[in-house]
Amino acid sequence: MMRKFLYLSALLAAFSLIGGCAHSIVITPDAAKLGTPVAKPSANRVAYFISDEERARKVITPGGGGDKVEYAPYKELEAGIYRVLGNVFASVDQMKNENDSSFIADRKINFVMRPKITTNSSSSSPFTWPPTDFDVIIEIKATDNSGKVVWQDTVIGKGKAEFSEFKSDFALSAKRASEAALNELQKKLIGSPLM
Amino acid sequence: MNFKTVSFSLATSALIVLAGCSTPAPPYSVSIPNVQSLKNSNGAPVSVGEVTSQSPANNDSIGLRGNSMNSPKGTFAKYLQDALSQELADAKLLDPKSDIRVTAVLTKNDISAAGFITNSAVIAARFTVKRGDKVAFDKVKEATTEWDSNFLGAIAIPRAIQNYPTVVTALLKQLYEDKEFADSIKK
Repeated sequence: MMRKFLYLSALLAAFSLIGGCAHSIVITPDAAKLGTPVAKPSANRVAYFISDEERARKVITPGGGGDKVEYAPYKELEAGIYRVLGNVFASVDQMKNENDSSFIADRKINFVMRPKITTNSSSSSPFTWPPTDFDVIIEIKATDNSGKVVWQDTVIGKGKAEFSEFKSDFALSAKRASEAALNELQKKLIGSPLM
Repeated sequence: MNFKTVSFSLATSALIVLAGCSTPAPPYSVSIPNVQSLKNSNGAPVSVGEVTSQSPANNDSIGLRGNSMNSPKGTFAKYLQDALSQELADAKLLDPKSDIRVTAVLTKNDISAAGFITNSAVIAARFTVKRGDKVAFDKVKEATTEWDSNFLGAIAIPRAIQNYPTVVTALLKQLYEDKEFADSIKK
């Protein structure tokens, strides 16, 4: 009876260390896997706005085995959004305040981009916590310097990773989803009237 | 299969997940303030030469409580080279053909992950800018960062890994904000 109790205690202790908690991951994609600058970028100058609250926001979505993963989507995708905009437009600026008309005028900004990011994740594995499937959805809205919405679109990036791949990189499906969403965003921008 | 066998197998599997792993550092994510700082420097496009390392900098892996962190770029010198290249590229100041060339030697690169309350990282590199054959800048820059830690390795180790790009950002920030560096790459 005592031995059975000790085994059960060891089992619970082991799983309490890895089970039921939100594991921190980073969903930033490898910049080398993002699109490259287009041959003829648009002469338009753009800015984007992400609030400090969005940048600090942590999101928790499901992993495997009842566990969850935690990350900061705006903070971790901001550099990728900046890269994609820079690949397509003549210049990119980060706006510190939304609707800052003097900044827009001083920097001769043609369009202000406002991204909204949502994510989801899941796992087909009951024994490992890293997600095997991850979605990154970027909804982006462009306004002109009068504040009128002139273009908007939504891209969905899906990432998958199996155990044999993610055992050395727990955020692999998330990074793949981020990469897919950002590359799709670049394609949408190239085909948009903003060019 | 009895209860004892199942229990032992599951406990062993769980502990294997925790121990002895080598995990890659997160990909470097450019710092927009760093890119803006480069843009404001009114610099000319530069090329980035090879970044190397010298002892005691950890170049292949950094130990973290019995686990380790490796570089997704192969070495940490290459990680720094890639970070520098990315920020210059986003500032539209990267030109592989430029004869203004930035190189660096990684001289310190370590994370202290043993603390239960706080942990820290240190990185240092000697940066050199050459305009043709002439050395225009040659300085060592060093940065440290600190973050809240935890008694549990399952929390403290991932947190240490996720903080590595932050110390790289801090190092590059110091470089870009050095007026002598800005002067050395001026148009």
